[in-house]
Amino acid sequence: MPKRSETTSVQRKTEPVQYRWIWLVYVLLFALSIPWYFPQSQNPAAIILGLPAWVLASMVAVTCIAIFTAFVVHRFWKDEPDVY
Amino acid sequence: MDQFPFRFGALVFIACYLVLMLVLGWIARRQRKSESLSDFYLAGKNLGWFVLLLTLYATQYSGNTLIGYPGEAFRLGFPWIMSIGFMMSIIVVYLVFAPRLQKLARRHHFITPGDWLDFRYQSPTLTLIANMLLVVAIANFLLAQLMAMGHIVSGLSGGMLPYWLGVVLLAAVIIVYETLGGMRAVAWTDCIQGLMLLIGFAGLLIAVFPSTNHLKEVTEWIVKHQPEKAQVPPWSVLRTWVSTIVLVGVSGAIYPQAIQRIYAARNTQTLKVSLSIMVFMPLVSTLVVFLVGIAGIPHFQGLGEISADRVMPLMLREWAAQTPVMYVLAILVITGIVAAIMSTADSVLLSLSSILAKDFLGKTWLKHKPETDITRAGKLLSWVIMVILVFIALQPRITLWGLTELKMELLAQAAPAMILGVFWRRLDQRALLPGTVAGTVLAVALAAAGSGKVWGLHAGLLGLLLNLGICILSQAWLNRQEIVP
Repeated sequence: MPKRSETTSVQRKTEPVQYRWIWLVYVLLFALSIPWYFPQSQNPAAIILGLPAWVLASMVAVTCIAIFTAFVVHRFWKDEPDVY
Repeated sequence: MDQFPFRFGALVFIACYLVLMLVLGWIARRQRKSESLSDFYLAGKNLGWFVLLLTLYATQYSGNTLIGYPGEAFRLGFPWIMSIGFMMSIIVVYLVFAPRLQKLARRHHFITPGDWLDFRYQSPTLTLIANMLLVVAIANFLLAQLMAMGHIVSGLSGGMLPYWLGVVLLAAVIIVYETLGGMRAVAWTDCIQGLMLLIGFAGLLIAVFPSTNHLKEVTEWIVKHQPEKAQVPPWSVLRTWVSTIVLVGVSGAIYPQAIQRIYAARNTQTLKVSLSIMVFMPLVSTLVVFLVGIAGIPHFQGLGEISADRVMPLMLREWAAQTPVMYVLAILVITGIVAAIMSTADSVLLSLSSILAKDFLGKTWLKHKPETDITRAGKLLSWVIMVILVFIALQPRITLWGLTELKMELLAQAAPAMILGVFWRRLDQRALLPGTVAGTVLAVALAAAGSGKVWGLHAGLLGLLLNLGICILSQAWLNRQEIVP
């Protein structure tokens, strides 16, 4: 019986760490929060909503990280018995 | 530090706040269910989402957030926006291991991070090394909080109250309420402290940017007069940005006091709710102090070179002198700063005493003693630790201030054992040991040689990469040995 429940738990994904695509999205969002894609020749920076454009882009990316995390916690972290 | 116009009302307000902390400690003592380790160090593993959220929040945001971060924003300019991302990365790292660790902790009655390592690897050597890394790192962290208490009290009172009084008074308040109520007292006082912090941040935002147009004016001034602070950062800064996100994310997630809060959650649902709100906190905390530092750039341009850590105290002094409303806001922010320091110090002290009492004394001198004896020893240890660290904090010549820089570097080296073991089933202590030792030696050697960063990457991150590399290769070799005897 323990073996069966262990197999069932492995097949039923209950934690974010078991979804590879979630971590790819995180890598993408953290990469977007760092302004490597803004050409340094663009200095002095354009100002949008009172902030340099690259700062605003970084803030949008980190806000997306927060929203995505809340989504992942509620959708992919299931309150079920674990494999141990 | 310049004089702050402290008046009697402000002192009474802060005194009332400190008395409230002691009262909460006393109430927490009356609420105790037993003298067990679980009840004293983990509040009976019964923290609801609201208390858990505020205690996580108040513990994670220390005095450094309110004093050091505005200073960094003032010094670096807009690139310090990286602080929001690296504070969020801690919560993202929790998602890797917290779900399973919390269930394991409940099932197997973990009290300290060492309990998890013992359960997973059954290697006293690995647990000892990891515990030593954790203890050295957080003892330095506690010392830094004590010194911050002294500097805040003496600086903001304009020298009226001496440095030693700040250290001794606040340390005494913390040790009394903590010994009375353990984690329950710490978590409850953290709630008040967390709320004070949030009120302080709101006050800061109103004080710094009374109108939306003000931010635009500040940015335009910086672009015109100090363009290097508004430009797209060069590659060297971008590399440090990546390094900081990884290092703070990994190290911040395995702070013993944070791990113990995962253990102390009432159930999975409370932990889920707390973490999903915690991830938004940098947007209402780190972002605000970042803006304070940015606002300081044009504001203090006439002062020439000022030390970055003086930005916040100087701002507070100016606000307090403006109008009665601003004076009240400044007092709220100051109380928020004191709350941030105390809430971090109490949690670190509790964690430190639990590790020393359970993982060191509980396995040696008190091996066959009942839990009540270990709990009592832990309380006594809290006093001993506090007295020693207060003594060090009062002796500037023997301070370990430089070592506090090593906090994240050391913690990161314990991360593979703490985190990877949760989901990497075949990971063996024989693979972890050489990696942990090599990573620690590299990180400490680089930091001691004055090379805190190499090519923009932190010594702790380089140590962690070596640590992981050795661990993965050793495990691959062990797997091969098992297949081909």
